[in-house]
Amino acid sequence: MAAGDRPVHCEESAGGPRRRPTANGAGRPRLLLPLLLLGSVRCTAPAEDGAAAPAGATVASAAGGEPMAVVATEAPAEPAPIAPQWAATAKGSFTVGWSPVGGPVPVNEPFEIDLLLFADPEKQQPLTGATVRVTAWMPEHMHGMGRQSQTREVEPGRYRVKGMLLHMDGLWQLFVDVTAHGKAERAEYALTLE
Amino acid sequence: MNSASIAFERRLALGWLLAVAACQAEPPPTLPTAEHTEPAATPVAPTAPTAPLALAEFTPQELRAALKLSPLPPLPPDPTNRFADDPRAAHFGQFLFFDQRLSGNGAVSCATCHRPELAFTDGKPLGDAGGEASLPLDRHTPTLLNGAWQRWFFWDGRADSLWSQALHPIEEPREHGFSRLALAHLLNDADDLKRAYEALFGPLPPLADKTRFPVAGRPGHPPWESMQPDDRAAIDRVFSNIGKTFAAYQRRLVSRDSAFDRFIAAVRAGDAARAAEYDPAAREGLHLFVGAARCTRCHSSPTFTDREFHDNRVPNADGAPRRDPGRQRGIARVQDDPFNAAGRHSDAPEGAAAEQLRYLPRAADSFSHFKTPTLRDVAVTAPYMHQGQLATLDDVLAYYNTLEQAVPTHSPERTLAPLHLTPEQLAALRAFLESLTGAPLDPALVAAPPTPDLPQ
Repeated sequence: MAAGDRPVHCEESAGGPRRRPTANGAGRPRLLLPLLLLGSVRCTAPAEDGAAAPAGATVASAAGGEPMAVVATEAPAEPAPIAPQWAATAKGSFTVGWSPVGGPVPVNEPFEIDLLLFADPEKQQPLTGATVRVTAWMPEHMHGMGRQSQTREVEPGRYRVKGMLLHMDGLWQLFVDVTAHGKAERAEYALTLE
Repeated sequence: MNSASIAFERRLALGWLLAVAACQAEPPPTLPTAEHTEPAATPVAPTAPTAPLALAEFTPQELRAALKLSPLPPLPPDPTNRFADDPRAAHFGQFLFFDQRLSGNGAVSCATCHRPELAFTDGKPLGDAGGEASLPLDRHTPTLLNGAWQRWFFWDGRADSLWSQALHPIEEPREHGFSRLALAHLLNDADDLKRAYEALFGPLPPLADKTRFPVAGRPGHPPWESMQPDDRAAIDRVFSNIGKTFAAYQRRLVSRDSAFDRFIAAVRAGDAARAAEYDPAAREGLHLFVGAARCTRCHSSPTFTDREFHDNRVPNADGAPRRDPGRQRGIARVQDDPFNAAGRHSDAPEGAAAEQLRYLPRAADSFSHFKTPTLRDVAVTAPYMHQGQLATLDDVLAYYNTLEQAVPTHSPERTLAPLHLTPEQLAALRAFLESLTGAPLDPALVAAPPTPDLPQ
């Protein structure tokens, strides 16, 4: 891993702030903002070998809309919040950020996903009323997950995905299929579970 | 700009103003490779007092995979069964487990097919309760050991708890051939059983009234269908309570302290001398198991199963095309089961186990998928596979080594690939599998207690 490509770990202070990162730029510094009234975000870059990253909280995202990765190991006692991973849908109509709820993605245990959807690349217009379907696929094994997730919009532009379970470790692709405004497009991510 | 986005803009501004701290970070990194994600230090269990041994032939990733296989974690709770850890229920369940009165012909108990001396299997390819009119079942009898850690039960996962699992064989004509009504009457008529039952669960329904409560019957039988709904519910409550006693007993059937467990404990403790006591062939087999042979893709976790379902493409025992739908039907059955975790007899109908039922897909792509079996005690649970198609561990390893016998499927799944191991490597894998046999259970757990009442 090249210098500067170290995973970033962010922690919020007490008070339960809801994170809504605005980062979208590839190749330029990423700014993470707390957006509710209380709390703060503290970001640290661990040592280059990744050893300083807390277990299960290592978050990495790819530049330029390429697949991104969340690496989960063992769940920590106090789950650290995970910053959303952002990607544009295939034709660029929507911008989608996903993050696991309550800590890193566990191996072979149920988890939920928080999705942030925008109707623009600048993430200024929350996408409401979309039909969203989330699936997962192991490209090396050529199979999906044995669950059918369900998605519900919990506030404008924010969707909660329940019923996720990735039963094997290894490389998974996460597909978010968004249908809105007469368009159906997919955002893709990658995550490696160990 | 719509109102939602305006509100979001305002929150954004507030965030700027009120942020206690914000930071800039480096650009996002690229997709990490395995070597990037491996910490330099040897991974350890959180509570390990010392650094584990560095096993020279294991990569850090392989060592981490090996450490994940032992020890068994603490017994998981079962909120759907409030009697799960009640010693009286476990004792009563153990008594009933060996009681042949719980059968249509008076000759079959749970222990008929789940024989303690065979790690609670029966040694036959297909389950067979015996007797003159016996018919073999469709699948191989699985072990009951370490069932408490399972997520789904039966090869097709048609039950979602130990207690609901225990109800199926009671009414299966080829197994106990009994019925829930007959069971309730047995409990009412046998003084020892009635005393034990009512001490745990309270009074039985007024079963002396044979008009309201016919002497035998289950759903689909006219006597059962003629009953009032409340009376049927009362019998179902009795039935589920008995299932919960079976589960309380079966939760105690835990296999641990195998040679492999002792090896991993030594590795965790950094005890080279004790680790050296492990059979070198088994150690080589472990290395293959977590490495080149990729067995932990499915046989993961300390129970050596991912608790999920796969098509390992083993041909039918009779050579005919595969007809058993496996998990495809199992999903429908567990979702429709009135005794599932979301049902009225569950003690946590809104709990996590109930919720996971909602997300099971009724899809064709799970046709002929079967649950990954545990490998603990696998050396004493022959034959193997869901129909007992493979007689020995060598047969199993030979199958996976070439996959020449694997049936073609329409599925694109490529989880399995031929191993291409040498005979020596296959022997090492077998030695490893043989090292997974746990220490003998407490003798008090493997025989019928003299009475159904827990001694004071």
